[in-house]
Amino acid sequence: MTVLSKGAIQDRLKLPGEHEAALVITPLLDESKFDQDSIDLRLGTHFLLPQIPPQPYFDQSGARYAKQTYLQLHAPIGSYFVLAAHQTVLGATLEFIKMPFDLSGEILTKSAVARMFMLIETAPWIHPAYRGCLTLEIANVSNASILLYPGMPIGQLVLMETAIKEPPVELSGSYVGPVFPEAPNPSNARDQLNKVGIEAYRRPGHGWVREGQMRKDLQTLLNSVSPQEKTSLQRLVEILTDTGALPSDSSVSDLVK
Amino acid sequence: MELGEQLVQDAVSLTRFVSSIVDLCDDRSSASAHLQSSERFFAYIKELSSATSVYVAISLKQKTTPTDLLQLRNEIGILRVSWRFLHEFVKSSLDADTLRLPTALVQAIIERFREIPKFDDADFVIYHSDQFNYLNVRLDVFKQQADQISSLVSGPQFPSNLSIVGIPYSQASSLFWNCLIPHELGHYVFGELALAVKFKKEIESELLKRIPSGITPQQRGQIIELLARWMEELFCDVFAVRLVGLCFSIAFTEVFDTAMFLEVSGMLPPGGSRGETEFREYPPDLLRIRQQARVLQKDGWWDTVQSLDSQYANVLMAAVGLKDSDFRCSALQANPVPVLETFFAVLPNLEVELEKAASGLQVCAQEWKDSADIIERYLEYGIVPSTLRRSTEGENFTPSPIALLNSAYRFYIRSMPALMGRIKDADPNDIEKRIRWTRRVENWTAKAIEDVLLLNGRPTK
Repeated sequence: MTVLSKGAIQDRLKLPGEHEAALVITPLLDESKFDQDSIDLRLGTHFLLPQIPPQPYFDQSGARYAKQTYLQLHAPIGSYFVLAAHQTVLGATLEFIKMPFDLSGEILTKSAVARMFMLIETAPWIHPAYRGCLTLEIANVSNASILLYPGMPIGQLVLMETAIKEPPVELSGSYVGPVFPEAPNPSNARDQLNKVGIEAYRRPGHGWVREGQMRKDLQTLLNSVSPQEKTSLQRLVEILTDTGALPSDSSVSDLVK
Repeated sequence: MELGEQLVQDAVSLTRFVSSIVDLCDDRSSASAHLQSSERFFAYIKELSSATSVYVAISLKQKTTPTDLLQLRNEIGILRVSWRFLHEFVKSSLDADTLRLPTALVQAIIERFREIPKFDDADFVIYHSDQFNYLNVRLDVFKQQADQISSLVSGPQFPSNLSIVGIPYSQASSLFWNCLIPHELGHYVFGELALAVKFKKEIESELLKRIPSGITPQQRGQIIELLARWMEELFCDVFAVRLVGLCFSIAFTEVFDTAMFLEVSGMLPPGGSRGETEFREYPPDLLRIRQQARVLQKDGWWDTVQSLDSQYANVLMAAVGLKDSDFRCSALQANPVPVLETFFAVLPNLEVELEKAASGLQVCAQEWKDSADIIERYLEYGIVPSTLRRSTEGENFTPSPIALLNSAYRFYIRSMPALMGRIKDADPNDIEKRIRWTRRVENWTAKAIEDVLLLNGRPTK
């Protein structure tokens, strides 16, 4: 895998934006921000500050995770945002990036920023054909607050050649177009485990749930009861779901819908 | 209760009321930022509040005779009324922070407006209105109330170049529909250039030529007021078209659903009177569209309108051919005073005044045409179009915010399927998905405008 040189990056930037092999980085405020093998990226103006969740953990096995609230912030250019010691915030690059179909990229914390004990990216890989402002998971791991000035250089983009020969026929929706930091929308961890046959899991506050066995038992029960009894069972499952004893997105609930 | 004690209570009550308004400005969350114009407004309110409190406190100590105390009571009453008036605009302006405004769009429109030499330092506070309407607060009314306070308490004068515009709170996130904002800037121009006085004179002159005997001065005054209001609305429309171009008219036809005038064929129904029930406080929408279309023709936008396969363009094309005589209103025509005839006699002066008001402002159609296709191509490929390049040999260039706005609007009404066709599982007939990708296009456009302002040395704030 070859890392692109300054000249090669600039050649890609010279292609018209819609060209499959074109690299677009906009706005480019300072032409001197090219290093021999990278280009500096700046901090954008919008932030998402994680709020203290109602329960003492982030649970990515439930639908609630996607609805975790974030405080949206805007710090215009010239203003600043205070990132307290040991605090995290989602930010984004000021630059919108359109990746060529045949290059991958990686964003790295600028060394001057890293030496203040600030990390900007824990998922640094950028896929070919990606387009958008890069969401940054910024963490202040120092013992002092740090002022973040939108527009300040914060990361370095490194580009690498891949073995991909053909541009994609269609773009994946999740790779096209964010211009603000985006809140996480992870796939449900339980669903991911279900896909590989793991149907027993430990549910915070409720202990072990053996969903596969529950579903099987309920199905057996449903097959053997009268329509009136089935209605009662449906109501029972509704009560269990409403009270939180069953996850609202459980496949068990689906059986009686 | 003694008058002195009554006054202490009145003073406490007023001071608490005024402080409660200012506290809102001070208690702003650090999460929010505001336009510089709004910051100026809040600073003015705080200064005026401070002057009010000081004046009331000192006056209470100094005024001891019954006459003085009665005068102070009267003043406190006046101050309370005026502060109640200002009260309406503080919270609603605070609500319109930069996260709840199309900030880049507002900034771009103001920058464009300032290209008119006589308005080069004008500024606009935007507030959230709970009405589904865009509003320009009448500066004369606002200033009268604000300056009433200032003159009593020796406080600051309301900044002379500041105006106040309300947008429906529900439309804060829409880039395209807020292309209607320039109409409100037209009201500012109308007021600053005292065009009401001018038009009223012209209306009166035309009216006197036609007036039947027996009309009272009061009736005459009412007719002049009504026709001047119509002229003001039409002026604001054509001013908006001159300022930002076709996107204003498209937003107008979309937001006010004027395509409903058309038959499925895209034509107006044959015959019939236009505006029969619509000549009220505002002139009929079709007449407003006709006047806009005439400016679009004059400013070089018309070939674009004609080439657009859209119901919004069809309304413009249908309206432009309407003659004055196509507009009728039986109720008005039953009136012995020839109201419509007078109105249409004055109407040609609209464009004359537009030319004078917008003197020095370059028409933006050609600049837009030079970059429209490439901007739309970038949008189709999901790229923020702030740094454009036509060919490998060419140079990078940045389009103007107005070109971005018009291109993006045209893209939205004709090319969304082309964009969505490039995206996996993005069915353009699925309403939710269409909305999602429309928002994306608006975000890309807003980001591009922000970038361009930044590249030109005017960061968005």
